Amino acid sequence: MMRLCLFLVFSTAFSLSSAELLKWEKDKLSYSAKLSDKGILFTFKFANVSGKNLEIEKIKSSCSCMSIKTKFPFKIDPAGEGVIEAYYDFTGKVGLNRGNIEVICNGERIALGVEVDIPVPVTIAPRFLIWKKGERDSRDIDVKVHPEWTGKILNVKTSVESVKTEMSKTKDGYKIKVTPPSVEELKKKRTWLLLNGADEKGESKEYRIYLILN
Amino acid sequence: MFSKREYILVFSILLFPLVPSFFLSGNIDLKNFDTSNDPFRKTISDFDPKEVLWLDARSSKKYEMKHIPGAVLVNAKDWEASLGRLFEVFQPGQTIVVYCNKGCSSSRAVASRLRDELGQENVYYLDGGMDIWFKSTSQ
Repeated sequence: MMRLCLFLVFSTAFSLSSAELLKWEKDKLSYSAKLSDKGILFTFKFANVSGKNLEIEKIKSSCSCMSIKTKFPFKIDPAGEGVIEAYYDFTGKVGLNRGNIEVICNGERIALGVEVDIPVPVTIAPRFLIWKKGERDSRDIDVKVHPEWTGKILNVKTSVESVKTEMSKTKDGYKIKVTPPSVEELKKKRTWLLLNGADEKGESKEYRIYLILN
Repeated sequence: MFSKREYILVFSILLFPLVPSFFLSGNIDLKNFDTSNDPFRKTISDFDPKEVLWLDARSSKKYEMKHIPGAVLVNAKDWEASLGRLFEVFQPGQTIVVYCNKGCSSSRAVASRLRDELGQENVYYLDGGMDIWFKSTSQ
């Protein structure tokens, strides 16, 4: 029995240690983008810890926005090191975005992850103001301007005269106070405010703020 | 050297490390940033498809090729126009579900931004994306 126990301990240790082929410096990478960034090149560093020759057979991205820059297939010597590079394109993306990379090494699948936080030049919240029946209270809208944004917010206009607005400057942007019309004055249940500004190139930029009045 | 019982034991232990890779192979789900506890990630069975407002977070080109019937195109690339389209059909309080092709991160980002901008919490993203919807309805 003793003989069997020893055998089991050694064989288990061997089979578990042989499971890891590559040791990654980090298998998840994050980046907080600047407003001017168009994309980011992620670099995953690895070392061959298997003690044998390995082959990266395939590298696959989960999103068309992320292209794999490392050519494959390629071989890695025992104790050899290498990198896998992937370019994440920010075009058409804002907010917190995540993606995955699948690496197939000697038939084994390895998952890598990326996370990018892409800023928005101007954040308006809420964009939809909804008043239920009987509600006619004033509401505030926060307009936050990213510190790197070189555009301007100019004024707010309403398409319905009976909707009153007041815009004031805040630490990181503007506050717009919106007072809805009374039921008697209400002509349209759905309307909008127009927040006018200019983008980085000085060209006019409009943001609509939608009002739903019941 | 060993009895038959001992051989089975040894064999089972040697094979034990291979068990997880056997179950994962062929259909590995690369959710490195674990979103399994995200309350806004929902599966198709969580909704009555007729009761929700579907939003398509993909490109306009992909939307034109195929989309869930009645879905509105709302993507980050053309956010201002997207909100205008949403305003035309939006009913306050209505459950909104955003989807991509296969549950990509764009639908999560769009849903998150809409929760802030609409000021309502019931904006979700679809696990598995549009493919799951079409498989479940066999269209």
